[in-house]
Amino acid sequence: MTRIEQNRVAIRQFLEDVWSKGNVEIAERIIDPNFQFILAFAHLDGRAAFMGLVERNRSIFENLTYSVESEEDIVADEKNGAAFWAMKSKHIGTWRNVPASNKDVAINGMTLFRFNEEGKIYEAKVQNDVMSLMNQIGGIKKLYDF
Amino acid sequence: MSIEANKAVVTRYWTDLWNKKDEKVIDEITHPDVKLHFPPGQAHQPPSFQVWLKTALIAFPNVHFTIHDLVAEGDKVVCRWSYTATNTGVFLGNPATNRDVTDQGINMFRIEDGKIAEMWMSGDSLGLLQQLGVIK
Repeated sequence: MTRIEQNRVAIRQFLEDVWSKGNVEIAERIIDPNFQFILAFAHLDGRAAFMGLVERNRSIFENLTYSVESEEDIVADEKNGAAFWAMKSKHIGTWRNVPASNKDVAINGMTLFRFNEEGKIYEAKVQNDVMSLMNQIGGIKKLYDF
Repeated sequence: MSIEANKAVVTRYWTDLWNKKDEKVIDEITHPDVKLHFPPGQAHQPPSFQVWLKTALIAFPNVHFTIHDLVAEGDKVVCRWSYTATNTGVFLGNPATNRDVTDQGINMFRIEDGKIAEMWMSGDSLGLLQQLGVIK
């Protein structure tokens, strides 16, 4: 397998095994211990902190599933990669101060990954449709209609 | 087209279309039937680049984008970007707030024959609308 092919596999495992199944063994194989997980509203420093987030979110969002519909939705070079993904779940616990809505939720997003010399993911920057997620769980109040 | 040529088209999208605000660039770098994909939560979902640029020039005339990352493979280019702008005109039907705002996102582009044929956008609408004071 070329490095690009390896990176594509790691991206899919990051979403479908680490996030969707909480698979710690795969996480330790594909993610660097000093991994940085960065969103518009949060920054997790280190693989252990990230795995804590995975565990928490998997308890707040029932049957949390991240999937990549097609190989066309993954783009990679030797050192970087990106994926367009879909998330599905049911919101059953408090998330960002919004109590459990028990609503089925679904959003899309994109993540940009960086790989080190060993081919492990050392950074992921996420842009997700948190606005839509907040709308689905009743987490925001609009002051105007738009 | 090579991966480098595809990256160059996407770079022009930000520097020439959005930073120089040159409407002519739209025809030069995008297909007439370019497909725009917005996430449902995106605040502003313009039907075309032409409408998008017009709206931006009213609401955020000093908008300036920075490209942080470009990743390309095959006919795809992914770009991580951010912008700064001041809301000095009507946006989403609301009067100008005169607030300075920043936004960030990741876009995926499909390039066909050297022009943008499709674009998937993911930006921080929640953060933008919070900065504008439209939601709490």
